[in-house]
Amino acid sequence: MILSRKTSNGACTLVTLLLFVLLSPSARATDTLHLRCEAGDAVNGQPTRDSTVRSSTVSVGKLVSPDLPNQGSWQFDGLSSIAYAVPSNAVGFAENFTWEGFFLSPSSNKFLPETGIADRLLTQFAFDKGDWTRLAIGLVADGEGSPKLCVEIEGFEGRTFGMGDRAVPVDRWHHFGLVHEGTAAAATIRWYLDYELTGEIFLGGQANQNTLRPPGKARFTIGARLKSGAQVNRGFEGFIDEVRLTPRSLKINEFLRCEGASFEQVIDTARLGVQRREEFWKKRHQWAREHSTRWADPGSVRSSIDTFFTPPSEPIDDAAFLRRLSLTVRGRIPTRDEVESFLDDDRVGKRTRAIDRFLASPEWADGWVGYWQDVLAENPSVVFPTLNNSGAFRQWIYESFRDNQPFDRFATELLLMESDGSESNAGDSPASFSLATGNDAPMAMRSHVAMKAFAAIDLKCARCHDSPVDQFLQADLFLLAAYLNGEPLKVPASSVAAVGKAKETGLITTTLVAEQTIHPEGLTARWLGETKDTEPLNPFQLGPRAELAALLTSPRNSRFSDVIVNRVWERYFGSGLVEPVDQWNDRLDEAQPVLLRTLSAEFVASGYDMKALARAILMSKVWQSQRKRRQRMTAEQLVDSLFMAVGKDFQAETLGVHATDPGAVHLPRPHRAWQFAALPNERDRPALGMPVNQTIVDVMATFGWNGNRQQPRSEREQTTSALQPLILFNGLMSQRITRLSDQSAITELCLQDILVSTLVEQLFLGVLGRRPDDEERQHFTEYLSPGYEHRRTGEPVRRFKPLSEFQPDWRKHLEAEQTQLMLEARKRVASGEPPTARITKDSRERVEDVLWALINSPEFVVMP
Amino acid sequence: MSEYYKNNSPAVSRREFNEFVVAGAISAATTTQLDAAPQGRAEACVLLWLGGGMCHVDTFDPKTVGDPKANKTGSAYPSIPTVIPGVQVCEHLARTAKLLDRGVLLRTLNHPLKVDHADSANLVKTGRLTSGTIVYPSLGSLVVHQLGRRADDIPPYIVMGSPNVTRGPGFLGSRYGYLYLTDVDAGPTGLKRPSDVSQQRQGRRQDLLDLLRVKARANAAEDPTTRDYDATLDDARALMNGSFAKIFDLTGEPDAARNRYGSPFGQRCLLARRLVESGVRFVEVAYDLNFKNGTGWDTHRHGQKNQHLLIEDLDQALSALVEDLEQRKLLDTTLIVVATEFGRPPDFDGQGGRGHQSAAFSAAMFGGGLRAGKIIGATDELGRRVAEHPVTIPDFHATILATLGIDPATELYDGDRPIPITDHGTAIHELFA
Repeated sequence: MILSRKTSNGACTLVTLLLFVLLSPSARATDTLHLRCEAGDAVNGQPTRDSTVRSSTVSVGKLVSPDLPNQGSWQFDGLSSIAYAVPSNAVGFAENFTWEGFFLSPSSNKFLPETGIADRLLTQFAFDKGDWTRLAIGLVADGEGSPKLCVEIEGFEGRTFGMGDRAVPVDRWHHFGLVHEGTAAAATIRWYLDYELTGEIFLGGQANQNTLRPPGKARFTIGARLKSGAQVNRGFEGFIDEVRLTPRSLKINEFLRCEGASFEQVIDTARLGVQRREEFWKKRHQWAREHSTRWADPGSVRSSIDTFFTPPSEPIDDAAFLRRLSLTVRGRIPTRDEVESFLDDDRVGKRTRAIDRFLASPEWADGWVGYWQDVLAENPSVVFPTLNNSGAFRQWIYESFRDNQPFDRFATELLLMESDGSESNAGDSPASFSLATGNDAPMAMRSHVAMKAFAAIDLKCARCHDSPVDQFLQADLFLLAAYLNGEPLKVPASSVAAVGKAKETGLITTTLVAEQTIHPEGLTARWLGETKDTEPLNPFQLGPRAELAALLTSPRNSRFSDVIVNRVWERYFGSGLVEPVDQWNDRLDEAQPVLLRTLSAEFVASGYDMKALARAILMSKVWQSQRKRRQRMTAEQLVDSLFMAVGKDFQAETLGVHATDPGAVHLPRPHRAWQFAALPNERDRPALGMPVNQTIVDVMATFGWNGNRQQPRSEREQTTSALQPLILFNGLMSQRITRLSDQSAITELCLQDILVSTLVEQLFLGVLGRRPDDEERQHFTEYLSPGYEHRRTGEPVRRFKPLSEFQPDWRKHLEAEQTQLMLEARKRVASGEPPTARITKDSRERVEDVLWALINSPEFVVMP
Repeated sequence: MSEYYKNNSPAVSRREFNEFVVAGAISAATTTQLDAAPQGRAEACVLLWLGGGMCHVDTFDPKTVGDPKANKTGSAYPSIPTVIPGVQVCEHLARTAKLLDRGVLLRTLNHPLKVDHADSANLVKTGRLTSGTIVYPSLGSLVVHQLGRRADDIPPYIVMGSPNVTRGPGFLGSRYGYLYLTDVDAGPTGLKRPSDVSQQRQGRRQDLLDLLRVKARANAAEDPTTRDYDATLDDARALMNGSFAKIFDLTGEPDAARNRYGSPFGQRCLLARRLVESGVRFVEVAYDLNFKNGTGWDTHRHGQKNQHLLIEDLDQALSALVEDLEQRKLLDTTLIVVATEFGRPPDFDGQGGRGHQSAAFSAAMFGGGLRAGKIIGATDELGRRVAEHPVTIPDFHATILATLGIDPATELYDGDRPIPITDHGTAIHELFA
């Protein structure tokens, strides 16, 4: 809400405004823009009718908690701004004025170190009739990437820029104040962060000619997004409150204060919001324990999975166990030190200890992200997203698993699709789930994904017509879509199957009509089982999305917990108790229904605790036994394991090209395989190439990964083809893995004072996770022996520039020079890392050959 | 615990439904004319993909000459006659002009997308708009799916360009994917031994690996996954050392041939000929590397300045390919398609370049046993709109598929969902005998 005054003439209003501020100390209570507009122009804070005013679509902050100070502040998403036309002479811009407000920049903001205030403009004035001058204040990253409060004046005389002297902490409210003192000939601008001076610029006189010379009207923009020529820069993302313009230069003690609360208290309110959420979920899980319909006694005996199976065959040996455990839980093979100490550990209970250790490791999260990216169709695009793209929410998935977020909460937060303060290119949050570009009905698509993921219901057919083989009507899917939309939804014409053979036969019906509006009410989720009374599950009444989430994840709804438990089972065993895991529409046969129900009940009782479920499975004998059919490593496990085995970092390029299209993402350099995304190759533009990333993504794609996740999937293709070993034989990524550069941990290993047979053993431990048998030991020792004694040359370490030197840039990619740079980078990547000079060539090559053979063995690629 | 699992028996089982639909299809066929779909006899296809949006009025559909500097609307270059009476093309397509009687020009391709390259390219390559329920396969994957391999040890689908989803197999699965290369000398990823690994060294490596394979097979005696993966190691060796790898070695080609084809794009076309000769089913050659003018075919602003270099490059490579295939008696069984994601308007954009236009643009096809020497469709005076005989992208796909002997009314299946191979496209009848 914006408070404004309708007055009859300028001067009166001025006085009235000041009086208002000085005499009403409780002005802080609601969001207020103390901005004076010309009489009759502003009505209730709407932008003036002046046609030079830009669009003012602003999303006012979504409530996280009623007590947060965000309530009523403007939330900016980097793309929108509020603009007002102000008659500049009324406020005496050329002379003395003060301009201040409050802002909060969230930690999700990525500050690219660019010069110029183009990044993160807080507010600006632009005088755009006659002489043109722009005064802006905003956040710009310094050389190390930390944001500082900066001021810029730009006009025909050029540009003057001043950077504040200290970094602006994120996730906190701050006060900014800018004071202009002087005349049209010469003036001083000082600006203050949190009531302390942080920067100063002198205008006019000898210093520079860039004074403010405003004739006529000015445009005053908050949360500004600057468009200069063809380039559109990043506007402010975060919250702004109480911007005030005073037509004289104020002293520090006259600045706006946060009324009735200090800054510390403001932060406490934010923490309070978080705390309230935690309490809510605790209560909910308590309620779940009490109301789950699965058993009478919630505290009943923990089942033993093993009692459901005939006594399994021999448990796998220690080496195989550790490898299988590490790959399953952490997404990569164990290090050679881990293997060695595990094999040599004589104490009782080492397997249990290993299980607990791995479950407690942060890499538990790494092990899960790839799976949920596939299931939830996370499909961000680095450039203009038009091919069924979502935003990025992989980091959110990762953090949820790091926190061992209860799974009902995970599903709920996903369906609420809230952003964490920024919905723009840098945003990684459940809000990204709401994006589905190129779709005529994005929420229908999202409903399909959500139902498949969390309820194993396939509504794909229902997108365009009633399903001919299941009982799902098109109306069902679109009702869900309306709930996810949060508002009534119109059925697009393109979503209603028009003609076709099947329609003519009468077998395909459509219950919906194009342009029909569906309201988000009356969802009974009849296929989810009976659920009454979502009140305790949805106390904040946060709208249809929360209602849908509550229905779906209700403890009375056994389907949700059954589906999740089954998914975890499938991941850990290679096939689920119910197959397929994402489609139980006609559930004809099911292995072990009682086991599933038992595990599911325990899952609910534990508060939907994924780690507890995992632990129960991993501790069982049946999990630790031999398998008739083994699993090949997933693409991510393969890549992460290979790099880890030789101690190298990907040296990947940043997954971003500085594209400014809404929805395009700019992801950080990957350090684990799940952090990759589809590369921007659809346009066949070589200057957008990412040479290092391409070598890694090629391997992943060959082994079943698909960065282009247009459709949700729960299983990767298990097909084998000659291309798989081929790329491991000769591909560029493989060459990097085997090469003994000065980056390789194997180089360091070779330089140690160890016998050649020890080296062989260490290589086996590090790659295959076991010790060599006698024949292998002898054969490989023989191979490495020639020249081994004199392998060390005494040469120094060779430095080389990182392989990822070339970084594609959308803003420059049509320049011929960029193509050249990319081609050169590609050549460099093709020649790989320079081999170390510290080992003789012959010895080095022999070790590389051994490494090559080990990684190409089927034993490496297939999980024990 | 509810009984809903058991009560969810479907009204009609999937099997019954599929039979019903197939029966319906058959009965439909018998009641309509059976000669509706023309069938060609081409066995292979080479797609020359000019990414960026080739301007049709500057190439295959010339109009009155304009002037970029004066912002005067029209073609950027004068046109020249071709061997087809009354038909002209841009002056920079001189060699192709003489071979036009081996091909056909489609001057009235059109579709509704024109802002973004990615979704337009996806539309032209897959014949479909992006859908929320399915990922459609590319033309190459469709062809390989329908026609299969031509030779046992030769991968059927090769892309000379960057891997991306518009070339991929979509719901058909990775079996119908492609092998790709971006560098003609280096060949497809993984096919060639690394340059720092000699033949002997490779041999020694393989010996070490073979020992480990014996162990792996012994330790996992019953496991089909290990067995299957192990078998592929031999397949991989065969690919590396067999005749397939040698196709990529252009050093055996006479200089005259390499010079005739010319630029790197030309060399890729030469390689395409070799691939087709050796039994590859579908080759896509992307014009992407070494943009001569910085922007490639996407000639906004200053990109227009050196567009003629691109056109000449295309002219040299395309004509070389047509003549080469003809000499080797392969032209009748090889369809060459020259395509792009959209065209460009006849107006200039204030800096001498052009924007995007999808309301009317051109494609060309050569060989494939088509009734050649035809011009299909006509655009209006300045090439902005279709004047007669529009050809939609599904029609374009239907025509290509029909040339290769694939019935455009074929239905594919994604699980139990029937998916027509084109989106109601009809092949252009005049092109078939």
